Amino acid sequence: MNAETENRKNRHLVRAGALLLAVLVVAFVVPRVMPVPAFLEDYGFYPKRSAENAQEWASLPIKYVDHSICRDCHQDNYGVWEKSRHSTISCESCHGPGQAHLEQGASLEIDTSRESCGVCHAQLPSRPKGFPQVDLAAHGNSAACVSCHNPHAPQIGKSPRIPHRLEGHSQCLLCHGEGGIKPIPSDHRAQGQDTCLSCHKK
Amino acid sequence: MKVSRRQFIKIGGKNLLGAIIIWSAFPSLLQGVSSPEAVRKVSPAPTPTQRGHYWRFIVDIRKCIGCGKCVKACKLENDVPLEPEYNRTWVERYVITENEEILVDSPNAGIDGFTADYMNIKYRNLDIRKSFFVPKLCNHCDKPPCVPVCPVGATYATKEGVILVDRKGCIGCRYCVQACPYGARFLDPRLKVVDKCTWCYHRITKGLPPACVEVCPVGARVFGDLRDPESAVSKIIREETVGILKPEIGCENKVYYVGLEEGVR
Ligand code: HEC
Ligand code: HEC
Ligand code: HEC
Ligand code: HEC
Ligand code: HEC
Ligand code: HEC
Repeated sequence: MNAETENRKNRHLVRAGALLLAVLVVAFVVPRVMPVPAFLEDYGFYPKRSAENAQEWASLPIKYVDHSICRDCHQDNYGVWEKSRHSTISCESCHGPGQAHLEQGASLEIDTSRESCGVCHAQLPSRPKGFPQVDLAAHGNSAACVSCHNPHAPQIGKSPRIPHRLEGHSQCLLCHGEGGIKPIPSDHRAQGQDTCLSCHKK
Repeated sequence: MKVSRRQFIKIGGKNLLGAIIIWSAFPSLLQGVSSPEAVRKVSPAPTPTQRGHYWRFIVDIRKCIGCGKCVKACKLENDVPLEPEYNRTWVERYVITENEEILVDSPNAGIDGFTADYMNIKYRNLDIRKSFFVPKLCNHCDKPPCVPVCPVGATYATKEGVILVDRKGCIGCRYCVQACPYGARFLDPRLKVVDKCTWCYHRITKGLPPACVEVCPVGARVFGDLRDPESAVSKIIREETVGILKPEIGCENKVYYVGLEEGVR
């Protein structure tokens, strides 16, 4: 008799254990499978409107437009820029965000100060060694950088030597200006003979 | 009425079984009102193209010239307060001296670049071994410590892996600001909600690069899709040695650095 009651008790325990397991499985699995109704997400302790909110972020206005748009109206600047060492710099990097310029014709910033070039080119020990840098205090006789360098196509390559004498030839642009005998290339900065002679030597 | 234990369990069990059957039929009944996430779970696994983008951002420390154009563009593009203490991205200058001292500064978050005068005043008497610039931004971690701490669930990851803040949900408690190991979050003083880099979510969803990437003159910032093997980021990850900031924390950052020096944190 003892053995039989023992046996029954055991079966009893097994059944109770199985039931408990089933309840636990249900309690854990069902809530994971069940979707939370949308109305609860809005009012629950953890509001989950992430898809909607991501849409809100995605619909903010763009201010820096793509630089290829500038080509439509500024072919000349774009043309020389495209082939220059500055072609890695987006137009808007120097002129600021273009959205208002395109939509309302707002004017863009034009900064010809030496500092505006200096943010990239001033000599600093922290910059990569190969990057072209100048001593802002000494380089170019404190003249505006753009009087010697074209901001859209800076070039310091091999400047051709002057094949003619300088006496009587001081007004360079008379012959090398637009419509002259030997006009300078369109991407040249042409602002008087001081600047010409800083690159071109006799 | 007297119910034996056996009867009780029998009746109870049947009821429970019935409840489970009815309950498990519910998802299909509820589909109309359920959230899009839940619906997505029952649909078959998406193919790689259906999965959409999964973004990565690469910063090349070797190329950065510290001009600060990125900091400025970020603020203008995203209407971030112009005061120096509010930044979604910023540029730090690291100076490592001959006696292994590591000095870091970021005047005005680097927005006006770094001037030679400033360098001379601050570091004149030091023996500089090397110096370089480190642009910083939110790392959009795959295991973001900032997300679970939010008591109202107002910050989350989109399916492209971008961490965003729901401005309508945010209560401005700043738990996430504290939780971020990279200092990438701040409280917007005007809206009194937390703000952070969104990788210019409004641009990348339209195929444009983030504003900081657009204006970088030297290609020190690269943005692209990790799932596209031909994208610029995939190529860099294949060809260069990349690292992340504070890898020991285990956040699984999605901003990778090329040329990462020991000591940069
Ligand atoms: C490195 C900075 C820089 C970049 C990049 C740049 N610009 Fe300029 N831009 C300037 C400066 C400086 C001036 C003023 C030149 C002067 O006054 O001599 C200027 C002047 C202009 C002007 C006024 C007219 C003129 O030609 O002087 C236009 C238009 C212009 N830029 C368009 C563009 C476009 C389009 C691009 C992109 C293809 C571009 N810029 C890229 C610096 C830049
Ligand atoms: C729809 C044609 C159009 C497009 C596109 C355009 N511009 Fe202009 N831009 C103009 C006109 C017109 C002027 C005024 C020229 C003048 O006053 O002589 C101008 C002037 C400028 C100036 C001189 C400063 C000023 O505002 O007067 C700059 C710099 C400039 N544009 C840069 C850009 C850049 C950068 C882009 C690309 C984001 C761009 N523009 C795209 C038409 C355009
Ligand atoms: C946003 C940063 C930036 C600004 C601002 C900038 N530059 Fe540059 N500059 C560059 C980059 C990048 C290069 C290309 C360097 C290279 O190819 O390694 C370059 C190249 C040059 C070069 C050619 C150097 C060489 O070795 O051929 C000159 C000259 C130059 N810039 C002058 C200027 C002048 C003048 C200004 C101001 C109008 C200016 N830059 C503004 C980034 C800048
Ligand atoms: C008087 C004319 C003149 C002015 C003004 C001028 N430069 Fe130059 N720049 C030159 C000449 C000539 C060279 C090439 C020879 C040399 O390396 O000195 C040059 C070279 C450069 C280079 C290339 C240096 C290198 O090592 O590759 C950069 C960058 C540069 N200039 C930037 C500037 C900046 C920025 C300004 C304004 C702060 C400026 N320049 C003003 C004439 C000028
Ligand atoms: C009276 C007209 C005249 C004046 C003034 C003049 N030039 Fe010339 N220049 C020429 C002619 C013509 C040539 C072409 C000569 C040749 O090809 O042999 C030339 C050639 C050059 C060249 C060589 C171009 C090349 O393709 O190699 C340079 C550089 C030059 N001049 C610079 C200057 C500078 C700088 C000034 C001002 C100081 C100046 N010139 C003033 C007429 C002039
Ligand atoms: C920043 C340096 C620099 C300055 C300043 C400069 N040039 Fe040049 N110049 C060059 C370089 C580099 C070339 C050769 C590359 C080219 O053709 O653009 C050149 C080419 C020339 C040529 C030959 C063009 C051809 O068709 O072969 C002439 C002529 C010339 N320059 C005249 C001038 C005159 C005149 C001035 C002054 C108004 C001047 N340059 C100012 C750098 C300069």
